[in-house]
Amino acid sequence: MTPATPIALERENVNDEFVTLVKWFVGHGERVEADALVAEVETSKANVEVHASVAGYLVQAYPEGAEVPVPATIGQILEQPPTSPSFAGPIASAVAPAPAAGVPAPAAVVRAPAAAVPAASGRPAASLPEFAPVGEYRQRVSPVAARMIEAHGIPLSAFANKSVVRKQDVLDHLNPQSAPVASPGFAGRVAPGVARHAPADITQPYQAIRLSRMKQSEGANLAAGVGNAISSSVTVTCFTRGLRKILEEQDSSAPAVLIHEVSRLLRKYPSLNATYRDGTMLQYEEVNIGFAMDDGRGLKVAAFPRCDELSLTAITVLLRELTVAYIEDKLTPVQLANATFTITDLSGFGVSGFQPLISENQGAILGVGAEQFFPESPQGFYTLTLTFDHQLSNGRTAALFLNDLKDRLQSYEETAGKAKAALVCSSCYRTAAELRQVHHRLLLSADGYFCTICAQGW
Amino acid sequence: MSTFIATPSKAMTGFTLPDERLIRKALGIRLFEQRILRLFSEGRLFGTVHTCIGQEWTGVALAEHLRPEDTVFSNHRCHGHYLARTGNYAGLFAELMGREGGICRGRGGSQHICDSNVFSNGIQGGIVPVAAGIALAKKLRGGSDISCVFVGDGTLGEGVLYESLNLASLWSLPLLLVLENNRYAQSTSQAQTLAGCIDDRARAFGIRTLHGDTWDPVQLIATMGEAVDFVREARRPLFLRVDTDRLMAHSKSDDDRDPEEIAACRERDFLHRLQREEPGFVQPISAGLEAELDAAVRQAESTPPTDLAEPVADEGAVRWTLTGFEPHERVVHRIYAGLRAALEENGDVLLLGEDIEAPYGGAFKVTRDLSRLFPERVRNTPISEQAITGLSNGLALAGMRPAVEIMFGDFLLLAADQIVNHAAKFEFMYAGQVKAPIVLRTPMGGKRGYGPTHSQSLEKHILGVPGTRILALHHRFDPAQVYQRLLSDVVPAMPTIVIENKILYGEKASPDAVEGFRWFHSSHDFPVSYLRAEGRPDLAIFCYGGMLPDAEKAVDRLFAEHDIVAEIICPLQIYPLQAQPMLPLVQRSGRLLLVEEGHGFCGLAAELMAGLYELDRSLAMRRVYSHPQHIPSAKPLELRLLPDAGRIVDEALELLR
Repeated sequence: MTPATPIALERENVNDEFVTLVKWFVGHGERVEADALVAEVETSKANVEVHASVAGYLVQAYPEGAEVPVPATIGQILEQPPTSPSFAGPIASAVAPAPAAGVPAPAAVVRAPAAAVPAASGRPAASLPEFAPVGEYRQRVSPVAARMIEAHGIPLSAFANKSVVRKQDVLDHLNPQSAPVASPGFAGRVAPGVARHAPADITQPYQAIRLSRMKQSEGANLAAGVGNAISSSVTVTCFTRGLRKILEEQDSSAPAVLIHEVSRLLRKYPSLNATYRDGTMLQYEEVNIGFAMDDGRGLKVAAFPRCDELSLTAITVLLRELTVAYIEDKLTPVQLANATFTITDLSGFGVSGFQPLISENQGAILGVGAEQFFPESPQGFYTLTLTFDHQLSNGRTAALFLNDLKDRLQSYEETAGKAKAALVCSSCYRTAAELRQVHHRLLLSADGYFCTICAQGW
Repeated sequence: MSTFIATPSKAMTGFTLPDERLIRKALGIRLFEQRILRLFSEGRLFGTVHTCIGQEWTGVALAEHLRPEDTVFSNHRCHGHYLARTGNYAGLFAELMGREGGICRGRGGSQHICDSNVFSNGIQGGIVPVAAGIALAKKLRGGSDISCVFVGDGTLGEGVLYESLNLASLWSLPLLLVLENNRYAQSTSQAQTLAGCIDDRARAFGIRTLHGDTWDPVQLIATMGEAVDFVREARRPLFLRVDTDRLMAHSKSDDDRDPEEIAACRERDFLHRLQREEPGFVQPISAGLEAELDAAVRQAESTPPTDLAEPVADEGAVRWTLTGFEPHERVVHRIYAGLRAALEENGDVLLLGEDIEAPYGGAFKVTRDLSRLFPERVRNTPISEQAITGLSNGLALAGMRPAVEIMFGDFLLLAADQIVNHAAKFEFMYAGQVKAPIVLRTPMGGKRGYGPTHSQSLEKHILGVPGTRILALHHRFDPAQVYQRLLSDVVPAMPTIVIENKILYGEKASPDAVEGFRWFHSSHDFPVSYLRAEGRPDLAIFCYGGMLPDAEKAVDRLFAEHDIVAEIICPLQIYPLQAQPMLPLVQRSGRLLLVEEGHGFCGLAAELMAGLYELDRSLAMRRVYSHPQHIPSAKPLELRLLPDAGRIVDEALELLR
C-alpha cells in the first residue's frame, strides 16, 4: 500500500463542529507539489487555505460544498496516483496525522474562551451536594419507558445510573448524540428575550436562501451575546473639527487611536471587559479588543491581543496588517479569536449613530459613528455608543467610560491639531484672517481665543 | 419598715414629710425628665418621650419595698419606675439618645427598657399577661419573689387586662398590679372612656384592691408596703389604684386640657408644694441633683451613637443526609411523643392551652394523658389566646420553656400582639439581655369541613417578623424530633410558631418515599426535605406542611401517567426560609412549581418565587394556591377551592408545556 499523508483539519475554535469545504484547487488524483494550495475551507470565523505538506497525488474525501466534521481529514496525498474513486467519505486514519499536514495556521488548537477565564467558585449551582448512590433507590420504570425498553430489547443495566426511567431516558439511550448535556430549560440556556416559542407561520410567499456558514455563525454568536446579556446603551456626542482628518495627516488613524485609548480605559472599567455567567462576573485578565471590519466581504472581527500593552504605533502597524489581511481574505482564525471587547466603526458608511449588539462571551461593545459637520462650519460632531450588559455594569459606569474616552479623543484632537491649527475664535471658529477682513480681532481668554464679535454678542 | 421617717422640722401643713432620701429620689426623677424635655428641644434626643412629671411617687413608693429579685414591668411612661429602682441617670440618658452606652444600647429608647429586673414595653395591656407569666414562674419555682406591673387608667380599655386578671386570680399568682389613675388616656378624658368603678373591675375577679394617691407620699409608701407584703406572703394578686396627676402632656405638645385644671393639679402636687413652702430645703437638693444630671448627660454623650445593623444570619454550608426515624406512627402520636420527651427531660417545660388536659387531651388529642403524667406542668387555660400567649412570654423571660396550644390556627391572630410586639421584639429591643423561646403550636388548614373560620392557612400573616421562627410540620421528618429540639437548648432560643396541619395528624409519619425516589434532609436544625430521583428531573415541586401528601401523590401520578419526573422540596422551617440551598435542587430542571394551601396573594410561594428569581432569572416557575375566596363548610366546594394532587399534576403539565 502506498504511504499516505492525510490532509487534516484541526478544530480551530469551539464554535465549529463542522466546516464547509469551499473549493478544491487540485483535482482528485492530480499531482500536487509541496506547499501548493490544495483547498479552501470556510469556518465560522474565516476562509482558510489548505496547503499540501508533501508532494504527491491528491485523494479527495469530500466534494466541494460538503460539510466536514472537525477535526477531520479532507483528503490524502499519495506517492502513486490513487485507484479509488473520489469522495469516499471519512478516511479512517490508518496513518498518524503528520504534524506538518493540514491547515497552515499555527498548530495549536484555538483555546476556548471559557477556558481562559478563571473557574467560577462558590456558585451554588456548581456544588450539588453528594447524594446516596443509585443502588439504594428502588428503580422505577414508567409504563411508556417499559414498553420501549421491551420493544428495543434494551437491557435495564443501561439505566443503572437512574432511579426513575422514562421515555426521554430511553430515547437518550437510543440516540446518544441528541442527549442534552444538561436538562432542558436549565439556567442560562435559554436567553431571556429569546423566544421560547416557535415563530408564527409565515403567510406571505417567500424564497428560502440558505445563509452562509459565516453568516449563521455570526448570527449564533450575536444571539448568544444578546441572550446572555441584559443590553442597555448609552451615547455621548463628541464635538470635533475633524479628528479623523487630523489623525490621518499625523500618519495615524482614528481606529488605531480608538483601540489604543479604549484598551487603556478598560483597565479602569473592568466590568466592561467581562462576561456574565449565572450570577457571576467573569472578568477577563487580558484586554483583547476586537475591531469589526466589513467592506462587503463579510463581517470580521480582528482581534488585538493584549493591546493595552501595545503602543499606539504598534497598534497602528497591527491594524494595517490586519486590514490588508482582511482585504486579501487572509485573516487566520487566530487573528479573529478571543476578543474580550469589540469596537465597531460604521463611520465609513456615514452612519451617525447605531446600537451595536454585544458579542458572545463579552460584556460590552463600542459603536463609533461618522463625523457630521455643520454646514459651512469646520465644527462637527460624532457619536460614541456603548452597549453594555446591565448585569455587569450600569448606565453610570458606561457614561463615565464614554466621557473619559471622549476627553481622551478630544485631547488627541487638540494635541494633534495644535501644530497646524490656525488661530480661531473658540466660539464661532472665524479665523484671525477672516476677522481682519471685517475689522475684528481675536482676544485671548482663559478658555482660549474669542473674537471681538462673539465678545460683543455677550 | 422605717424608711419614711418624718422630719419634724420640715413639717408641711397637713402632711408628714417623707425621708429626705426619698424626696431626693422623686425630685431626681422630675429633674431628669425636665432635662429630657430640654435635651429634646435642643435636638440632642430623637423620637418621643412620655414624662411622668407629677406621678413620680408611685415608682419611688414601690421601689422602697422591692427586693432585687422582684420584677417590675412598666409601660410607655416608665422613666420614674426605672430610676426609682436603679438611679441610673446616665444609662437612661444614653438610651434615650440612642447611644451604645444606653441600658439597651439605644435600641429600645424611652418605652422599651430592660435592666435590673425592670422591663417596659410601649404596648397598652400586653405587658399585663407577660408580668403574670413572670409571676407564674416565680410561683412555680417557690420562694417569695413577686412580679409587679404598672398600668394606666387608659389601659382599662384593653381586653387582655381582664383575661390576665382572671388568670392571675384563678391561678393565684404573686402579681401586684399598680394602676396609675391620672384620668386621661393620652388626651381623652376618663369620662369618655370609663363605665362603672375602676376597683370593681378587679374585685369582680376576686382580687383584693387597695387605694392611694401621690399627693400624700408617706401614706402612699405605707399603702404600697401593705400591698407588696400581701402579694409576697399570700401569693395572691393585688390591685392598687393610685390617684395621681400628669402635669405635662401625654407625650409632647399634645396637651389640650384646661389650663386651670392643670394649675389645680400643680397646686396639690407634693414637690411643687415643697418647693413653695420649703425653698431653703429643696434648693440645695436640686442643685446637687442638677450637677449629677450634668455629669450623667456628659457620660451618656461620650458613648457612640448606635449604628450597627444586625447581620443577616448566614445559612451556612449544607449537607444532605438520609435521616431515618421510627416509622409508621401517626403524626399526632409523634407530636405527643416529642412533647412528652421534652417534659421528661426538662423540668422547665410547661404546656398551656385550651382543653388540653386529660381526659379530653386537646381538640386534636395531641396532649392525651400528659396532664396526668405532669399535673402541675400541663394546664388547661381559659379561652384567652392573648393572655396565655403573653403568659408564656413572661414564663420564657423568666427562664421557663412554655409551649402553648392555640386550638385552631385561625385564632393565632388573637395572639398576634403577643407574637409581634412582645415575643419577637424582646431579644432585640432589650439588646440581647433576654430571650423569649416560646413555642406556639397550632393546627392549620382545611379539608375537614370546619368552615370559614376554622379551616384557614393564615401563616402568611405572621411570616417575616424578624426574631421569630415559623415551622410547618410534615410527616417525612419526625415531629417528635422537632419538639424535642425546640424545647431543648440544642437550637437557638427564639419564639417559634409550629403549624401542624390538621390533615397530617392522621398520616403515618415515616421516611417512606415514592417508588424510585428517596428522601434527603438538609443539615439545618429544622431541615429542608428533598425527594430526589437519580436521573434528570423535569421539574421540582415546592410545598410545605399539609400539601406534602398531595405533592407526593402528584409526583407518583406524573411519573406513572405522564412520564414526568418531579422532585419535591419541602422545608420544615418556612421562616426564615433557607432559599439558597434550594436553588441547586431547582436548577437541576430549571423548573419549579410552588404549592401552598392558603391564598396566593403575598404568600410564601410568591415570596420564594421572587427570591429564587433574584438568584437565577432563567428559572421557569408557576404557583398553585387556594382559590381567592373563603373556605365553605360544603365539602365538594371546599375540596374544589383548595389545591390537591390533581391540581398539582395539571399545573405541572402546564409548566412543562
